[in-house]
Amino acid sequence: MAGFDKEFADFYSARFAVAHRTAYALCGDWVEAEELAQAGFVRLYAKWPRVVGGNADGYLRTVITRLFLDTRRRGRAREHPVAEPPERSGPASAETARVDERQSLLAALLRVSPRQRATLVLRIVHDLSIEQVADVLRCSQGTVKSQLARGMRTLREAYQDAETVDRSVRDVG
Amino acid sequence: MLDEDVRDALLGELAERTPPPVRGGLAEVVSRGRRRRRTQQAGAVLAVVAAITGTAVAAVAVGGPNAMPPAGPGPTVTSAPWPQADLPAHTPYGTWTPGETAPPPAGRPVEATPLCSIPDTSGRMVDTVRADADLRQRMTDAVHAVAGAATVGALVELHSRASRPGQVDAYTYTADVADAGGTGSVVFSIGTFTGDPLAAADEQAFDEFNCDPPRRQALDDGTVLQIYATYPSEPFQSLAQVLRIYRPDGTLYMVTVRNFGSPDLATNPDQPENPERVGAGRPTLPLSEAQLADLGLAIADH
Repeated sequence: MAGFDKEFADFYSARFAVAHRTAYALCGDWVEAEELAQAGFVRLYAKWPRVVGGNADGYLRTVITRLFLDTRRRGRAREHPVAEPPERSGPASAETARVDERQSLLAALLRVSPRQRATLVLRIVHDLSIEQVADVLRCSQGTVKSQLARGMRTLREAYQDAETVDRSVRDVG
Repeated sequence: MLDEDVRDALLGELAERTPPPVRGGLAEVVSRGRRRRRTQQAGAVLAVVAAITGTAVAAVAVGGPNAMPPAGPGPTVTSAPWPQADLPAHTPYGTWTPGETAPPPAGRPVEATPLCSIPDTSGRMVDTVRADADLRQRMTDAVHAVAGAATVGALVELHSRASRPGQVDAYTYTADVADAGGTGSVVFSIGTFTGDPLAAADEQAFDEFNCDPPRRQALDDGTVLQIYATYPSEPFQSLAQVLRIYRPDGTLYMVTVRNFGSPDLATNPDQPENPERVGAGRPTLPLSEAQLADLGLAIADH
C-alpha cells in the first residue's frame, strides 16, 4: 500500500468508529449512519493530500453533517418523527433492556428537526464553539444560537414527554 | 436538565449503544475515493456524472454502422464481437449492494456484480475539448444510425467551467435514447491521452471497477477500442457501460450508455450545471453492447 493510502488507512482505522457513532446521533439508524460515515471518508480520501496536513477531523465532521442535512433536504431518507415510541415486537435483548432502563435522550433527539439536531450534535456532542458550528452549517452565529435554543427546548420537551409516559407505565405496572 | 447534563447523558447513551457489524470497509472507501478524485480532476460536471453513473467521456463521428434493433426490455446481453484484452483478471474486493437511501425500485433485481478497485489515477491528465457544430451533428447522426427504431433526443452540451486553479473546463454531450423499455441516454466527450494507444488502453483497462479485462478491438491504423462490462452504481442501482477509443493522434473518445435520461433529472437551483437525480430510469441500458461496439467503429472510421 502506498504511503498516501497507508496514512489514510491509519486515519480511517482510528476514526471510523467515532464517525459512525456521531452519524448515528444525527440520523438514529446504524445502517444510514454507516453510509454517512463511509461517504464522509470517501470525500475525505479525495481531498486527503490537502487535508492531511490540516484539520482532517474537522473536514470529516463537516462533510458528514452536510451529507446528513442534504439527505433530509432531498427526502431520500425520509424521517418521520413519531409522537409515540414504537411498540416492541418481542423480548428486548439484554443490551436494549439496559439502554432502555431510563429514558433515551437519543430518541428524544430524533424529535428535533434535522437542522436543529445537527446544531445540537455539533455543539453538544462534538463540543464545538458557536463560531465553529456556524462555519460547519454555513450560517451566522446568531442563527446557531437561535437554533440551539429552539433545539434544546424541543429536546427537553420530548425527553420530559417520554419520561412522563415511562412513569405512567411503571405506575400502572 | 442543564446543558452539561444533556451533554453527559447524550455521550453516555452513545457510548452504550453497540453498532452492528460494519458492512463496508476501507477498501470500498479507497476505491470510491479514488474514483471521486479522478473525476474531480475533470471538473465539476464530470465529477457528478461519473460519481453517480460511472460516466466517462466520448465523442462520435458519422460512420457507416449497420442499424441494429433496439435493445428493448430485458437484459442487454448481446456482447461485442471482440475478444477480451490479454490481461490478467483482478480479484474482487466485494460485490455491489445498493445503498439504503436510494435503492432500486421495488421488483428490480439487485445486480450482484463483483467490484474491483480502480487504479490510482491521480497523476493522469483528464481533460476534454469542445466539439464543434459539425462534430456534434455527426454524433447525433451516429447514434440515430446505431439505435435503430429507438427515439434519439437532441444532443445537449454541458459545459462546466473550471472552479479553481489546476482544473480545466469540461464538456459533455448527452442525448436521450428511448424505446419501449423506457428512456436511457448516451453521453459523449473528447479528451486526450499520451503515448501509444495500446499502452494507454492497458493502463486504463480497469478504470471502471471491472474485474475482467475489457473487450478490445485493434484496427489497422493503430486505433484501439475497448468496452468495459456494465456496472451498477448509486443511486437507484444506476447502470452504465463505457466504451473508450484511443486514436494514434492522442485523441481519446469515450461513450457511456446509461439506463437513465433527462426525465430522471431535476434542476438543481444551487448548482444548475449539476442536476439532481430523481428517477431510477429504465431496468436496462438502451443500447446493447454490440450496438455500442458499432458506435465505436463509427468513431474509429472517421
